[in-house]
Amino acid sequence: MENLKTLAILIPILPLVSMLLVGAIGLRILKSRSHWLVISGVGGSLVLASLILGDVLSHSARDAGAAHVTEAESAVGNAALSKSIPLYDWFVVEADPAQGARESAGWLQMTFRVDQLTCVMLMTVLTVGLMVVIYSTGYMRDHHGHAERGYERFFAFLGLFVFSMCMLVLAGNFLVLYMGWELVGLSSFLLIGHYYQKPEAAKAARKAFIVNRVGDFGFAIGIWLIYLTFGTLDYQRVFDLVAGVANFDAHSHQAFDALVHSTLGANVNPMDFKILVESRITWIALLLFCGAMGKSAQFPLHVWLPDAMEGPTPVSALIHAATMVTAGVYLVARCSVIFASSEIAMWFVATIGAATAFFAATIALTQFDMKRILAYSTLSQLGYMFLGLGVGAFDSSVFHLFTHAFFKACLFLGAGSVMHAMGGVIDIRKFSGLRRQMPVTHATFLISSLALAGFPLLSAFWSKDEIIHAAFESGFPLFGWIGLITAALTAFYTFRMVAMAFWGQERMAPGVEHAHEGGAWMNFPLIFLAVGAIGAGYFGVHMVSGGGFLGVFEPHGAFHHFLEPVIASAKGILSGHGAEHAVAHAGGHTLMYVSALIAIGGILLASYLYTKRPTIPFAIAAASGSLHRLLYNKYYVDEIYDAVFVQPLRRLGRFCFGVDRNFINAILYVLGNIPRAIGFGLRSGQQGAMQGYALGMIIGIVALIWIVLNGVG
Amino acid sequence: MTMPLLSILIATPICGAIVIFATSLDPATIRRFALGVSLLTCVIAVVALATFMGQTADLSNGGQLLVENHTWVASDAAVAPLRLSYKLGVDGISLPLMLMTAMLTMLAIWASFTAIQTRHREYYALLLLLLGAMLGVFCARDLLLFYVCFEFTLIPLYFLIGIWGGAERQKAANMFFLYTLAGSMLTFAGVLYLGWKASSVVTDAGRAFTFDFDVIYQLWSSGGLSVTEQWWLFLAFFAGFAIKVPLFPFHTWLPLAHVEAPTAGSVILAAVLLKLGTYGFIRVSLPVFPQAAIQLGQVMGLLAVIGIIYGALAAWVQTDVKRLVAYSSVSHLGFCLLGMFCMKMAGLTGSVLYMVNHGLSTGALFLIVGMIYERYHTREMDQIGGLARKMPIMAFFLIFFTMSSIGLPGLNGFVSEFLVLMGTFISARVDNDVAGPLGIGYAIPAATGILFGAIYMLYMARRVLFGPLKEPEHGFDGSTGLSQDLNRREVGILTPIAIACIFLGVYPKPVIEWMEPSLAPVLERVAGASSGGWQRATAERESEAGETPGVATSSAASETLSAEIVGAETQGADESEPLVLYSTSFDSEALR
Amino acid sequence: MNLATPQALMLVGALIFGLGVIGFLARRNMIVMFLSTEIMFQGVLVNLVGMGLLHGNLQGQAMGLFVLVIAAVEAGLGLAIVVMMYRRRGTLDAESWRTMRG
Repeated sequence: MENLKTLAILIPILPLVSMLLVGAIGLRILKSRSHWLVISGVGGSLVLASLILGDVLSHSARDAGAAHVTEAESAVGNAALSKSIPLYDWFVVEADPAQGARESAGWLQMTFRVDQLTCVMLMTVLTVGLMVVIYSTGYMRDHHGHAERGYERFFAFLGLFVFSMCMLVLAGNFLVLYMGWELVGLSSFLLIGHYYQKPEAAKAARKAFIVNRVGDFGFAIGIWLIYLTFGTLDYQRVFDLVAGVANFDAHSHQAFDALVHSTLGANVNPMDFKILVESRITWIALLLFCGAMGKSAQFPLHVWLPDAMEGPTPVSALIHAATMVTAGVYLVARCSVIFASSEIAMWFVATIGAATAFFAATIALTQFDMKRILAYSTLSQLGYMFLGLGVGAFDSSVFHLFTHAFFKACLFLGAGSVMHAMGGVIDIRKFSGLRRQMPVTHATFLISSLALAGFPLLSAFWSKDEIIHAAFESGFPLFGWIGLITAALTAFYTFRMVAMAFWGQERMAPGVEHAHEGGAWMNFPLIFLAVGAIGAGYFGVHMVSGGGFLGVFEPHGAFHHFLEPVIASAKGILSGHGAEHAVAHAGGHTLMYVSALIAIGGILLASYLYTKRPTIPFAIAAASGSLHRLLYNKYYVDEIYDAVFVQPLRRLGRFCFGVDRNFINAILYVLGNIPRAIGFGLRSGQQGAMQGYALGMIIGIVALIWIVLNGVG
Repeated sequence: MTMPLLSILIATPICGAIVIFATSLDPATIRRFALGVSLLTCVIAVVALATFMGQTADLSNGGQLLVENHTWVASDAAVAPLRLSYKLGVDGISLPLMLMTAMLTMLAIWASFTAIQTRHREYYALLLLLLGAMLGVFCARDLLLFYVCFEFTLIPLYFLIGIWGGAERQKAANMFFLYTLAGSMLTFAGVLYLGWKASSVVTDAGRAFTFDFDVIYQLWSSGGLSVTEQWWLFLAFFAGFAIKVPLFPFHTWLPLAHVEAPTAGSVILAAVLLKLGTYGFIRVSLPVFPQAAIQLGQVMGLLAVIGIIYGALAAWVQTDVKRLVAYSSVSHLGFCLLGMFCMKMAGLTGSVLYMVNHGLSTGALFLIVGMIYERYHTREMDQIGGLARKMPIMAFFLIFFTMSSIGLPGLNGFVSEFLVLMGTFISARVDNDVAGPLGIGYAIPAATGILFGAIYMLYMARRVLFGPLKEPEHGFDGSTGLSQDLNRREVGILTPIAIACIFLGVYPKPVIEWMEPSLAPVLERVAGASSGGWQRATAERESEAGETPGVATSSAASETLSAEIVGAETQGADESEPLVLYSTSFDSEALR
Repeated sequence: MNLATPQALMLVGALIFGLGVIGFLARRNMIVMFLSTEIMFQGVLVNLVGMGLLHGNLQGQAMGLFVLVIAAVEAGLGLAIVVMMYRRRGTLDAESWRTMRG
């Protein structure tokens, strides 16, 4: 346990220390060697995370070997497997005055939690993080190997990001989660604004932070509501209580009563508490989801993500594709018990996810900026994840998160290589046919694109199919159809991009003679991630001797079993609600064949159109007119926000300032001038002649004496 | 006989000021001397802190420590026994503020080394005088002494703004002085009335016309103040404190004063002088008039919420960096008051922490703005931009304190903001049979402040730091020996503040532990005051499941009820009548 | 008839004071006005002596001597001011010093 605590503390500390060191000595001493510190910091954390993973795996194995976990036990929680690691008291919300402040009870603690979900996230974040840091050492240099301006700063902020992300996933209560949540927002802000002299980058950075803050506004209120309801912010206690309420059994609720009394105090009536929780749980879930929508850029808070592509490409790969934007998915998966307790919230999550998946895919069809296409694709894939969460397939969504991290990071890094080679140009109309001059980039990009498109046997095929399957099973098949249609769109826009950039006639961007591969530093991460894009999916399937997909593969493999303890109680609640979610993929193979066909169809169609008949798409675009314009302008969401929120608020601000200057100050001026006016009236009495004053004095004295002697009357 | 540590603390800067006034040293020596004196003050404050921490174990009596009590004026006259005391002491509320004051004033003096080029002698002497007066406010345990120091802070700052300020300095200084003085006059009436009422309290030393806080605190518990009196007195003190805070709509002097004041003046004004108002609320208004505070709690909460949003929106449309930061103060101080009037421990703790945190982060922001101004002689965001290119160290600090100001978790602002909003959120919940006056309806609009805060601060950071480099035509002015980016002195000024910010954000536990024992009595009084009308009204509201009850019903219910209590007590015990001062028929009954 | 009664002394004091007042109000020349104030002073002084007589002790006369000394000093100061004022304006007319007019 102590060992685990040390490991857990060191994981965020190592990147933090590397960041601080780069900040301290980077500019003077390390200069273009700064990356070594960050690479070793992130790499060290990865090693530590692997150790933790091994520890948790061995625990899982032991528990699986022990008595079968009963339904009731899993509902109460997976205390045996998860480990809450309190570090120190952070601050206090309300200590009982009778007990004095020195009791630890009322304090909000800095707490870590290590369980299966944490492990998955840590491994994903740190693996992709390490790859991106390695890639950046090549990317952030020019063709002669000289470091760009701000090289040290870039690596310092990467270290900060990895630290923040580790804090986020290691958090053991909502407060620490919020801290990590905001810190990744800060790192994202700083990294998007890396090229701060570009006004677009500066604007995009600010926009990202503020749109996130909009989500965090709801998130923070959700956290307060949790505190108000449960009197604690600790994950385990909150989840136990929620699970207790959801699984409430009117006939035998001694266990629940005991839980309430032990957590909230003896004077709380469990029945009242149950009613309170039931009335608030939907609000709590929706408010938490606000935060998730902001961070994971779900409609209608998606506007910041495409703009965030102004940041350096490795940043887009790491933060805006693989890790930070999936924090929302992580949040919902982490709070699966809370979401599962509210049907409305689940429905809402699924709807938002499906809507984002579809709309982002349609926008991606029309864009020409490679990074933006990928950004919309990220939105769309995140939409899938939320769709999966919303229909109760928590494990499938986390699985998709895991596979997505690899192929999407690979795609972004590939786009980065192209951008590097093309001298910063990323518009796919400006170049084509790069496959001969950039073979490594082309190969890895192609593999990842196939994965994204859902080509059979590659990673996203498995995970995406599980989500679509769960959507069909959800009792609301429209979600499933949206999933399928979006899959077709995904395949199409992905290969539109591949075909336009890499295939066809060889053509360089203006001013570029010859495309260069980025060298070993950049190629190694590409290859590694491409291997991940192929192989990551096999964590989530298992081999059967017959009857599975292609006769061999059956979904729900080791990955799902590993995650099982984390989401067991949520699954239990969902099945308790009557919506039957068969864990087995009975009859699901038909769907797998269908989606495989759809993916291949989309890929072939796009490849054919954009290599052999490039005029047809333009003709279609021209013919569809206003629809194409609508998509090309991203449904005008930015413009609507500007008109509906930004401008009125600024007008209100100007109004306030005007009130200050013209109204409040005017009143003050009037008030302040009352004595002045009185003085002005009395002024004529002051003649300035000494003798006049003397006469007045004497008259006054005489009058006084007369009054004293005779009285006023 | 222990050392009179607090007297020494207050006397040190004042003696330093006298020395500077009395001798005619050359400017460089004066600077170094003033810095030395303020550093010494800091050291003494730290010694006081160490003493305080050494004695935390036996905290009692509201956690008051290092008490010095000397009779200042004592008259044994039969008619009106007068006992004015020079009484000092610190507790968990004043200690962090005291430390912050000493530290920031020292840094402000250090920051003035190049900024002030005229009248060195007067400038540094006034700053030291101001430091002494501010420390006096935080250490005073006697209402009159508190008031004297409270008012005395006006004089040095008036001159600081009026002499070393910007173009409109005279107007700003006059407005600042008259506005705050006008409010304080009403407060003074309240002070005198309280002193007179205090003569109804029988202490060990008998009854006397006194301003001793400990006696005044007994007024309410002994039933010495009726609800009507509390209302009037609350309003009288409100006049002084709300203008000082400044609470919407009494805030208009602040942007003007901030914009015109020299850097050190702005820093001290934002960091400390505004806190005198909030400190006054927590030291006087809440504990002495608890019933009025509860009944007016919703009004105060409303003003605070309006201030939060109003200040934030107004800050957003500014083009002058300094005015933007000034409006952000209006917004932030709204949080401070909100936390106070939610009547929960979380809110009170958060509020006091907020005072310190706002002092640190906004003080630092003003320092940075001053550093930019020294180099470019402008604060207009239209004229400067993209400075991160030329001043990376400044950019780092500006981003850092921006983040601190907008409540990034891990830095100081977050803890206090979170606590304040949490306190407001749970305010209406009934704990120990007591519910606070605020609730979700106040917390959610206030929470938009954290959103707007990010908007206007990042707007400022983007325009000043990011984008293409833009400098005024006359360019960078290095005539006073400044380098383009921050020099070592300036880094040395900002670094301690940054360290304090990180410390208070990551591990605020010790500070909170100092505060709790001092805040608990305040809360207990409020709780005691509300165990009656307010609670009943809340219970009714919850049974009706209505959203917001009329203030009138609840306060009326509470008023009648407590009036009954007070009435019963006063009838039963006529010795609780205050002494009669000018009466021709005084006799043994009044004297005792 | 004993003229050295307190009443008589006070009456004389009042008369002298009244003369001084009239002189101060009526004349424009600053030296004369100054002398008039001195006369008022003497009136008060006589009054003090009368008071001492009334109480039957010497405190009144002691106070009177004290006031005499003060008056002498004050006369020196006052005349010096008058001289300065003359140098400023070249005239002794009190009307020329109406700068405090509102």
